[in-house]
Amino acid sequence: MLYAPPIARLLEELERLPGIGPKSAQRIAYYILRSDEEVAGRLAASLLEVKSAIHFCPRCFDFAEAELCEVCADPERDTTLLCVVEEPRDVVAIERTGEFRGLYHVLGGVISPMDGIGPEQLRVRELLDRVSGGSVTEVVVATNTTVEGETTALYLARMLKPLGLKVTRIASGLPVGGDLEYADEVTLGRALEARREL
Amino acid sequence: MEGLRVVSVSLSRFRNHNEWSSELDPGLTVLVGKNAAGKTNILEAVMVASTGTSFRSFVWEDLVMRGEQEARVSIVSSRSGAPSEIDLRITDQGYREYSVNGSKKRTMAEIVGRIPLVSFVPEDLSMSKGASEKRRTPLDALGDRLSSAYSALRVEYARLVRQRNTLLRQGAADRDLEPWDDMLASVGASLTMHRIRLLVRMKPPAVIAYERVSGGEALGVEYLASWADGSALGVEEIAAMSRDEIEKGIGRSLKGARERERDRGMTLSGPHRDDVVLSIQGHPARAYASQGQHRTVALAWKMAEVDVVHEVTGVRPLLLLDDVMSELDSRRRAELSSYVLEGSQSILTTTNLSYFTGEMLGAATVVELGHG
Repeated sequence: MLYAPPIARLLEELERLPGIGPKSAQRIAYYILRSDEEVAGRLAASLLEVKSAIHFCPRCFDFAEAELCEVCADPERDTTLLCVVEEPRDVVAIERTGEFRGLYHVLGGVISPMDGIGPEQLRVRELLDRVSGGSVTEVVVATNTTVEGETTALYLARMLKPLGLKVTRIASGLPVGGDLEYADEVTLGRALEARREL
Repeated sequence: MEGLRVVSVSLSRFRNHNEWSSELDPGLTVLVGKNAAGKTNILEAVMVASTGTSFRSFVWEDLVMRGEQEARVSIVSSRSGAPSEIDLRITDQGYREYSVNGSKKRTMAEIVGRIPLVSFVPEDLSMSKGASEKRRTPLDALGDRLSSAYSALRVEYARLVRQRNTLLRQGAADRDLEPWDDMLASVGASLTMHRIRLLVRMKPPAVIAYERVSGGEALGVEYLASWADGSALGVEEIAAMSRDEIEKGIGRSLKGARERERDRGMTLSGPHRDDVVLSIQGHPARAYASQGQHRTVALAWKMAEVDVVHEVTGVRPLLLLDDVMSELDSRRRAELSSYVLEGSQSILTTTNLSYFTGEMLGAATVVELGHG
């Protein structure tokens, strides 16, 4: 089927988005076509606004609207504690727990030679600059528990420990409050392998 | 019969089968037909639907009949009286969806283990010959089917090796390699532990089965660890090592081989380079065994698999036997037959019913297959 050129252009743009295939793109495009002009206007305006108003925080590289992101700008945060994460969405996940009161550092990915990503492609240099001579005493490495996330954690530990910092890794394994019965075998196996003495 | 029973199997648009279904005998079902009638495809469908893997390598979309959009496999089974139906849907894009009793399952871990099975195909007959990979593969494939931790570790480990090999080929500095060494040693040690635990279970029944089928010969099973100093270790010897010792062993070996690894652009020690060493009457099977002895090893190994699966899962596994009778001499055929008749539910394919005794056929359901 041939679309009118403006529809085809919209479909093409939508299909570029992550997680959107041809069918989803068609559904979204038809929804917009059926809606009031106001709906399209708001969507277009919010897309442009987010691009012009949001930038990377120069300290932690999370997304920020003001000069610094909300966490870095908050004087109440514990500046001795730094949590290293892969992506901005990980900051959101940890903030939601309400358990962490320190600062963040967003790496922008993990080391993965097959994808051509080494420490130079990540914000590792910036991390080292940030912790050397600063007030940070402990770095919590909260990269994902994938092969690449774990290796990145080991790499960072090797770089950070000689600077006299305490380096810790978030515990992986059983989800908090998870019922043993429902934990899958892999998670359970990991949790057992990584068990600690209390 | 206690435990598990597969009641029926149906396929649609699966490889050469447009529509095919059959009830299964609680004991032996014999699928008889000419070459290319699709006998092996039926066994493959059963295996893929119950384990997500196959005794031969395959691409998902190739399982769908050419020109069709979707293949389906459905297996009805009952376990201690409770019925259950596994449905597998595969699209021509290679997308697949499993459901059990109508509810979708997201992970293979929810499927694997519902129908424990052991397959025996002609390729298995050469497991004690050839490259070390051939001897490791049956063990790892069994581990994958018995434990999702085993298969997850294998996937992780294989990824680590690929990542590290990429670095080696780039001539990366020690500083960049070392965290990968640590991870490889750690995950490699876990995988080795799992593999050895499985081998410890496999060895006694394999030795007993080999002795019986061969008429008194002794089968030896040892483990040649690429990270230990070159000589094969007894299975019990490695089993007595701690995870820490194995991890240190792999780590030391990686460090020692650094320059050679850079030259060759590959990781040279770790469980992916280890070997299961089989011997007969004290002589390495690979170099000294006769054709018949190789077949006896394969047969004994499969019988041991049945025992181990039974022990681990608590039910006797379904046996899938693809055209192996024609490859065995009458003595081994009789051994296998008695094993099949002893109480396992089995599906067996053959081009020729004359390999079977009247006693065997009398107790079996014979299903004839026409051309596709």
